[in-house]
Amino acid sequence: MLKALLGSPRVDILEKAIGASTLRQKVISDNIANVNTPKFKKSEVQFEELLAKEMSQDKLQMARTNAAHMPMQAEGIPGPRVNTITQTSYRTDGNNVDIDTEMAGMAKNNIYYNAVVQQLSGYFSGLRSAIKEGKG
Amino acid sequence: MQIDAIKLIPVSVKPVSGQVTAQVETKSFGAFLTEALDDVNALQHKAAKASVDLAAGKIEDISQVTIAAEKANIAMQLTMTVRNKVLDAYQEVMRMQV
Repeated sequence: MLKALLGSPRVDILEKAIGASTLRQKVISDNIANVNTPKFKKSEVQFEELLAKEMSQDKLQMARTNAAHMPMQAEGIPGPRVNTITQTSYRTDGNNVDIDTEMAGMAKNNIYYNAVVQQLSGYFSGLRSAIKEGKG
Repeated sequence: MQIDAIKLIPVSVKPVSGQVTAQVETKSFGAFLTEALDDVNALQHKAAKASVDLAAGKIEDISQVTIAAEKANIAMQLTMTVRNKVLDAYQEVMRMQV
């Protein structure tokens, strides 16, 4: 019963989203810190697209012609992935950090983090008031 | 002087002639409660889907998520309050001396 409450997909997904958002904050900070480092290439965190892809059911399925074939492993909730962008260059020293893009990304990440935390905390406070029979 | 013994007179309401009593469709309390609980459950599911969609970045407008969550929250609290009131009333009746 405890597992159904605390390990529900909603909690898992929101936890992963908070983790991804924290990682993105670190990556953006790293990019900003290296705005003047020659030959530095920026990184970015990919999470929402992976989660949306995992949630939609239109993934390619492997054909199973025999019942003994192993089914494709369900990947579960994907973790965040850090991609380094090496193709572009913003300045002649090979650096490709655009400070405005980074600041906008950070503001967006901030809003995302706050919204997800609010959702998770709302879920837990709902559980708490149900446990305390609405008296707590 | 003669005093009549106290009699239990059943209270009966006679409809005034010419007036048609409105037929109110009655729904049993159980059916009403089940319907209300289904509504609350649907709101909870909607809120859960909205927050998962938010995590997946599918939502452009965060206010939708907040409002869905708040609706579910209010419905849940109303349900719990009604349940507590009903239980209190039941216990009050059970404590009554007959």
